[in-house]
Amino acid sequence: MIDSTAGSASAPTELIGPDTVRITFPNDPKWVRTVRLAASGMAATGPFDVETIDDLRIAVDELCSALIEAGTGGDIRLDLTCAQGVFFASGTTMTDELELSSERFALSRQILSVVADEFGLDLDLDEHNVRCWFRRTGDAGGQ
Amino acid sequence: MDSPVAISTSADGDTEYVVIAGEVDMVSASVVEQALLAAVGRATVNLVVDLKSVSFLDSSGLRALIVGREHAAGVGVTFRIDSPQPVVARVLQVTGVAESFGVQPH
Repeated sequence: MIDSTAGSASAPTELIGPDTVRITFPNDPKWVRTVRLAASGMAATGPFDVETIDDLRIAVDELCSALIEAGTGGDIRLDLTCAQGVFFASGTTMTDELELSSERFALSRQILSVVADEFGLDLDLDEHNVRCWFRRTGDAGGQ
Repeated sequence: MDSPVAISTSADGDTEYVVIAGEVDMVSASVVEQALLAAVGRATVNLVVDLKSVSFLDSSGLRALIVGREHAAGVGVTFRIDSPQPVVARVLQVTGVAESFGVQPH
């Protein structure tokens, strides 16, 4: 059972492909800065202006922060894709949460709703994992 | 890992200043919050938080600023943010708190 609390009911997984970079990191906030740097480096290869790259840094940070907070301490697996004018990020980790209250992640949701075109924070109660994802289309260079 | 922020404080008349430099995220938000609460304790009239050298702020950092502002309001101290970089002002604006911190829209 998927409990989708924001955005679409399921992430557009077709965006994961040969241009996807997978990062697995421990559930520790100290690694999020490294992930932000990797994401902004990837975005710099696409049709994204400086302001949009800043938005992507913010979005990736909020995605990672939500997973760290909702996770039970296991590794976080993050797929980053920058292809065909779209930046797509999807992360998962194990959780023992039974629900993701709107209030708890309100600020992250508010930020993601603006800096991403589409996002989701989904709880899979059967698999005991939480997934956060977002998609942002480029707005520079002929999009 | 060391905190990715540096914080300095000063006072001038009835205004207490807190200058933050670096990135305010999940790692450093608690350090920032403690510094702000300490500054609120020293402030008598105004507290100005200079974010000119903050290159990143996320929801954790924003929560720290909101806690500082709420504590300041509770003791009658005005709390103002000064000189945020565009990426920081963006977070303040999209969450609807920029005006309450005295940050003007770009």
